[in-house]
Amino acid sequence: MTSAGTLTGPSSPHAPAPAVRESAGGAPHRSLWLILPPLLAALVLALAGAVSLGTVNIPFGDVWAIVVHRLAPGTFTPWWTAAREAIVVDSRLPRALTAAVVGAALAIAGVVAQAVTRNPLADPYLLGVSSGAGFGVVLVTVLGVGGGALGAFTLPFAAFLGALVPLAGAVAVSVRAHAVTAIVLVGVAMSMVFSAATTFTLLVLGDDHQLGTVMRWLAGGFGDATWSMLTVPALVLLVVGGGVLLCGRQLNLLLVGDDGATALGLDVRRFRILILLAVSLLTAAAVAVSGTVGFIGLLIPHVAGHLVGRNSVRSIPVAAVAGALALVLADVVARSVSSSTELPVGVVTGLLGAPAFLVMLWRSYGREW
Amino acid sequence: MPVDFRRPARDAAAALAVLTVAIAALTGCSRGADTGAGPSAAAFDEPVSITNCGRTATYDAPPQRIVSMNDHVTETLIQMGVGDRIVGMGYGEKDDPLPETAEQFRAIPSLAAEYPTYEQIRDLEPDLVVGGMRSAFDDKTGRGRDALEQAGIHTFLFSEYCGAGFSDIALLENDFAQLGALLGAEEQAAELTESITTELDAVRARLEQAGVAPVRTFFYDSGEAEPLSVGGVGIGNLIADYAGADNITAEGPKPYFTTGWEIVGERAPEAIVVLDYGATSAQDKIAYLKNQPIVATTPAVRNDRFVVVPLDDFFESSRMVDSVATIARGLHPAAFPDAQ
Repeated sequence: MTSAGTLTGPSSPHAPAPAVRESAGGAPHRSLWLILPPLLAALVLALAGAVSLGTVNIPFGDVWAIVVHRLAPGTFTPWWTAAREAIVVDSRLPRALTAAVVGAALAIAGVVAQAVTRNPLADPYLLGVSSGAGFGVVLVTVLGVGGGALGAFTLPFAAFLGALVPLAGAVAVSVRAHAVTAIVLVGVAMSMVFSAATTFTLLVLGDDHQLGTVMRWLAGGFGDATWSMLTVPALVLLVVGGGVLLCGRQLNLLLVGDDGATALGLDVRRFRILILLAVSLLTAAAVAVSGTVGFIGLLIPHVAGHLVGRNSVRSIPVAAVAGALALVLADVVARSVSSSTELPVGVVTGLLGAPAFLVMLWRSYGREW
Repeated sequence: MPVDFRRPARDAAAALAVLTVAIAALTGCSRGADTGAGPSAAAFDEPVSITNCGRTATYDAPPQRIVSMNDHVTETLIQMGVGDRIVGMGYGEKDDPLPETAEQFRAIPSLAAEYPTYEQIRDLEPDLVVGGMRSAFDDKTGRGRDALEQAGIHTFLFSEYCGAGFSDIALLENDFAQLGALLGAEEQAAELTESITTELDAVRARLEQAGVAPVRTFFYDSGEAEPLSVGGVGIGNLIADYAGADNITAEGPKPYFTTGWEIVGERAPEAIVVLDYGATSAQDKIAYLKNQPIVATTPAVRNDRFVVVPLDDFFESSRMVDSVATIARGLHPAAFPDAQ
């Protein structure tokens, strides 16, 4: 009943405390110990699969001998070529791990966005944060604004600045209006503005031959992942993701409504601004390396809620691992569907994510209503 | 803010910590490896330095393992006599390579219907990757020039796609001279350049001799809502120039750019060159133009003056000679009495 409760409850923003029903509900309160270890194991398996597969057929044994050789030099005398070692260590590994980090970051951003707006539709997309971040990156890549001033940090920083604008809109509205629905509406408006601005930049200001490149970038992908590109999102995930996890109890307080949370001693306005800032950071870090990958931020929080209930303390870690798992698998699909070309990973998450979401909604409503 | 270290928090922290350690270990180690160098031929007496698209590269020896990303690049390299050094090519499934290159072209391993992946390129251990379009070195797919050069692989991009357009044949002359120098094939490269410029000049001379005036021409690439046309800085405009065509959209700041039907109608082209490629056939494009209410009013449609050119011949290679000849003959039949 929990997921159904939270799915419908927030459609009227002042609905009385779904959290009360949540804590009374039984089924979704499965122990984290039952959920998290299998999910982690699945993630490790998926990562292993992602490193083992690719456009060049490298024998399974060679792949793992290379990895072991790198972790513990001297274990083997290399019988493989330096090129294959580079393919495994400098291309496939950072690619798989980047997918995992981005998936985790987007999923956490989604859980938190849904909790803080008490709206099951909220995700980095709907809040406009993704399109803002995407626009920031398009400005840098198409127009050369900033010209690599910050080195490896240029793109993440541009993405973050872009993500701050819709965030500022959301904050301004949340200060003025008490209805959290307004935040979501601002987000929708913002994402329209930014996708228009992105299209304008691409079609009018950009060079037609960049069109394909940037379209591909916008559709998301991990083909260019490197170890150095992985550092920023990994750090953001650790620091911001960890911080958000520690705020899980405060996030839960929001479930009883702003007034209730205030009564329980939470400075709701300040907390909401901080949390929205965290959502922007997580999303920007993800978008800067991967492009805009859809559906993870919307689908995974619902999966997590389905598994362990809407309690943020429990759903954040589950969502992080499930998001990582989903995106690693999506990337494997993206590069193995066709032998001659890679699909953008955003296309895969959209095509597979939407039906999965429908099935999940169908089942949860079918059972619990 | 009360901090509550509950189990879930610790679980997640532990998971993240494991991930971080793994990353650190692998990153730390990943610097040790050296990229294997391919078999090297006799080194240059003095290293050859070239600047391509603003990137300077120094070659100690002519590359022996080349990956060619585009079909016109493959053809050009074969024409320069280094086809046997190509270890793999993108766009390798072309059914009609230039006749003089066809035999060697078909013998080169085709890596993909379009571009090969970064992995495929690395696995071949090339010492040079040559691209003919910007998309050949698409960063997002991992095969950007930075990524390849970091792996110790030289890259060369036909300058038509460096970003400043292709408004003078000197660009091709310079590119081919550089390729010749770095490949140790100066003579063949110079001969190739010479044959291209000679043929282009011959067409121009013939038009001048016949005393024909340039024909106001609309270059139609594609598009129904708005037409994609040829601007003033790309190969299209250069070809128009040699072929006695006056490009009506030469003010366009890019090689290809989107214009409007009203502009096309207002400028009343006398002829239309249709670029043939992709899913829409040239016949369908012409049919569309004839039914487009504004274009239907132009002298080009009223006199049914269309010339079809394959887009394949709109690249920086000897193929551009073919499109110049086709357009010149189509627009100025009087200058080519022997034709028909």
